[in-house]
Amino acid sequence: MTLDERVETDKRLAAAARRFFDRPPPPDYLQEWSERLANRERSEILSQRSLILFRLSSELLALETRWLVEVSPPRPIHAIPHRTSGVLLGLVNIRGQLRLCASLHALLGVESRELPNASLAPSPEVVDPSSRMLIVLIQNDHWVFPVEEVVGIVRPADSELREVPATFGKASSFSRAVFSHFDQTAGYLDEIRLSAALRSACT
Amino acid sequence: MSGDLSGFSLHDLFRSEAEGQIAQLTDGLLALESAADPAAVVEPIMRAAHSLKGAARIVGLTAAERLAHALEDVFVAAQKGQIRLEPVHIDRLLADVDLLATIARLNEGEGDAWLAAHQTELDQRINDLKAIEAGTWTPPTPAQTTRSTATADVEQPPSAPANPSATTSPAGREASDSLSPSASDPSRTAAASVPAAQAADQRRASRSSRRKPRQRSEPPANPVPTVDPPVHPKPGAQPATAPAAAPTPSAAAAGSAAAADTPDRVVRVTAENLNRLMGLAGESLVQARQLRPLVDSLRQLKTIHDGLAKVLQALDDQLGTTVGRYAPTTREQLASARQQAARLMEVLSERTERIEDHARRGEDLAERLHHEVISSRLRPLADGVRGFPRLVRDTARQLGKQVRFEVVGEQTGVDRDILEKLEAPLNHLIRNALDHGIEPPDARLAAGKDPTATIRLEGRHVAGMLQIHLSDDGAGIPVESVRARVIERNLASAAMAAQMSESELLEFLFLPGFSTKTEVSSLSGRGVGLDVVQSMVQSVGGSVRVSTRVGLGTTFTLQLPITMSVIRALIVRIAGQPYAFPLSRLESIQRIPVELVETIEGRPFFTLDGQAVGLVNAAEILEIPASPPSEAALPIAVVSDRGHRFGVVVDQILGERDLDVRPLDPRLGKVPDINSASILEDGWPVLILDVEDLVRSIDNLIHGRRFKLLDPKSPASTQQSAKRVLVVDDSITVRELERQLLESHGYAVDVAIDGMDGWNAVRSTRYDLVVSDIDMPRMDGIQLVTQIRRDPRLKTLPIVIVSYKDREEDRLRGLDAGASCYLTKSSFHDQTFLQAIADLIGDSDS
Repeated sequence: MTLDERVETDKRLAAAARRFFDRPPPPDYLQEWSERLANRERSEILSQRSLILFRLSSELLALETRWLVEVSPPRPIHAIPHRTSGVLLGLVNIRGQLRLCASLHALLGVESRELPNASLAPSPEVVDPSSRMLIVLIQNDHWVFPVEEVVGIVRPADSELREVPATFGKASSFSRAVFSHFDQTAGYLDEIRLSAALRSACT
Repeated sequence: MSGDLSGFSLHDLFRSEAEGQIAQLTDGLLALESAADPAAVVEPIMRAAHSLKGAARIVGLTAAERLAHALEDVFVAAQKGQIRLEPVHIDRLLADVDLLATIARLNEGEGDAWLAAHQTELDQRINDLKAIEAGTWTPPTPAQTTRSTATADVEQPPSAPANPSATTSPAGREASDSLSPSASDPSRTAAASVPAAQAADQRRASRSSRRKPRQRSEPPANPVPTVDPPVHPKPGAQPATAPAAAPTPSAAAAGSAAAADTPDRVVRVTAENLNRLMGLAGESLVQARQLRPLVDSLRQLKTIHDGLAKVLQALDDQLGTTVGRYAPTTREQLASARQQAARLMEVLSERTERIEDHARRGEDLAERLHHEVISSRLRPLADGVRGFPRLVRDTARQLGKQVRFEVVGEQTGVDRDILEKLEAPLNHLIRNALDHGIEPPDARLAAGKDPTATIRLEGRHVAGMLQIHLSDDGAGIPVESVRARVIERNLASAAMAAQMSESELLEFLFLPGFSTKTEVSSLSGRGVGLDVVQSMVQSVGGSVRVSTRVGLGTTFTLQLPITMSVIRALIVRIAGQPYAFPLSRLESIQRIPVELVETIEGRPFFTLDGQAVGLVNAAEILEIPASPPSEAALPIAVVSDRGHRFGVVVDQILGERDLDVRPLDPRLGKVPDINSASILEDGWPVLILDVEDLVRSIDNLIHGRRFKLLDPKSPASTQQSAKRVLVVDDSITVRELERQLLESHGYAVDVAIDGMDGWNAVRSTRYDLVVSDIDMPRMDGIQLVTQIRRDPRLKTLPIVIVSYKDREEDRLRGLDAGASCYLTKSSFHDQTFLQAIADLIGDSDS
């Protein structure tokens, strides 16, 4: 193929491409897409609420994601003498800052499978590989909670939220609503009540 | 706040730069006074003025720009040897630098308004500077100098809380007022006459010398048109009016070397930023060290691999002796296996080496980073005492005293927060020393002393605390006069005062307004503002002591805490978790074999230096579940406080470390026995023990005073009928007096030696009434009352405050906090004290 021939071929291909991309849209094309996009937007507005879903023992609970600072692997907890209320677990080193660590299990009356044994440095063999620490910042207070698992971010729509049933146990007083996550009921925690209860557990 | 400089406004940056340049100008001017080679010293200050001029122009501060420009011109002239700067000139220039500092401190946008209000003053200053530059300036009369400098550099220390009375007015102002009461009138007339004289002088100067072309451009706005343009006189053609006030430079002022060292440039970083940096540096160290176990595991892998190679070798040897029994392919396969194993070995060795190298370098880097960040919190003491040579020089000149100022330990690291808070109290103490401590030169000569007095500021780290001594070799404080004064002011009975030790008496100096009455002339003013000093030092958790010897001088010792700094600590394990004893508070570490532990009355002890030392399990005091001892010999930390000595048994001693101290989370409140927290190298949080608290807790534990240890079957009949009173006071004299007084009237009395001790006591034992002092270490009376009132179970407990502080605002402060009654210590002499208590809880037996 000579150079001239190659240039010719390129020109023809370019013209074909232009014809392809510049062709008029089929009828109803615009209409169809407008409808699709409009619908998607409506369903997104319904799920603007973003919650971080986590598991305490067998219970599912959720907090608004905006309070979440980070999720960390379990770290050693240093107990604080004379402050053994059960809810307050102690101090945890999170990125070089000492944060207060509290037990949501104790606060919400959830049976914890293995009590966080602060005197043992968590070695990978002993600790449940899915267990994590949630670091949250509520009303200018940092709190760290050990949880059994971080499930992920969920976006329940308003219509999915239900009133807290009386059978929801101790967690009911700290939940503003419940919703279903697959076949399980999850509690949507009220951060203000939570933070007030945690603060009073400190002293 | 954002981490980079873009978070600061241009104006903030200017202010921060100006601060540095102004410090350099001041230092340079002081050095200039005693410099052998002025030209060398002038160079840096000329540059400083120049930079400041440029910076001021950028932010549009015309006033500062013009002033800096005029200063620069003066320095240029001085550098060229065209003019000589005498102490009078320096006075003037220093005042101009002060003015410059004032302008630089203006808030953004205030510059124009300020300029409008001070236009005349500024013009006058600039004209004066031009006259200095021209060598035609006539210093005002000495009285005038004194007055202007004195008012220029009086710094208002923050006044004491709710204290409008005259006692808190700055010593400096009083000093300058009381200095020359007779001179105040003449100075006013002098002030009026000076401009005229000066103008006349300038006219004369302009007549006598020809104009020379200006070397530098004129300031943007020509100030006052009537003033003749500046002229350069011929060298040596100093106007005859000047020399009168030009003494030879005195060597007294500057103790520092003439060379003006350029201080390191300082940038501002928010404390929050620094804390985060510190945290991240610590964390990166932890992470870097975690590579080490990985390296170790690679080594193990190598050992296993070695084993494999040996097996293959043995196999090969065996095959060699049994030729023919195996197919040739077996041999080949074995050879290939050995070959591969050898290659594997090679690769493994090489990789292990590489990762080892990487780990070592990473760790080294992280360690350096961590160390650097930690030390960035500390600043040399020199940074906080920059202003003092100037203060001493100016004040001494005003007072006609000769004073040498020495700083020892300039490089002592001081926490930046503490350094900032230190300045005001030290300023106060130095003024006091200059004003009242140091005698005039002739008096010193008469007493056979060097006419030049010495004020020495000494900073050093002592046993984990920052200790600052401020001493003068002046007249000292006559302790007997203080005693007389205590009695006279009815602060204590004659009998009680007679028993007071020197240090107890000197404590009275810190009472507000203690010596405002001038009957004891040698003392007058001594106590002015000392209460302010004390409250400032106490606000950072420190203490201040004074010692004195009549005729030889006075020393103030400021003891400042370690909080926020880095401490050396012994790390131990208690109940499986790390705790730290500050080394400064640790008496010794012992390992005592179990068989050497004896018991008295069921309490274990061991013998140390022939003394029985009680033993307690650390977990028991801290109320945490104990873990069984892991060592045959008990590891023991020996702690002591105020004569009590105990051995604290820990699980294990882990070694010494430097810890950066972080305050406990405020949400926790005060945790008994714990002072602060930190993070260990392996990332573990560690709690730093409060040894004073710990010793007290042990004492309480051993003597069964802790609530849960109280025996419910104890003789209740007597216990219940007697009203129980808790006396909280840090002075043993007062404490004992109150105890005896109350016990003699049938009350049962417990004592606590400060607010913290008291707070622990009221929570563990039921009292009918608390009697508390106000000024106490660790937790003062106001805090104690506030704490009690906040506690739902205790808020109805009657509290009587008994204090030396007898002013109305002190009384109100106590009552506001929630005290039931506020008495002064003079109430012991009459029935007021007992009557107040009887009113509150009835007689002891009712």
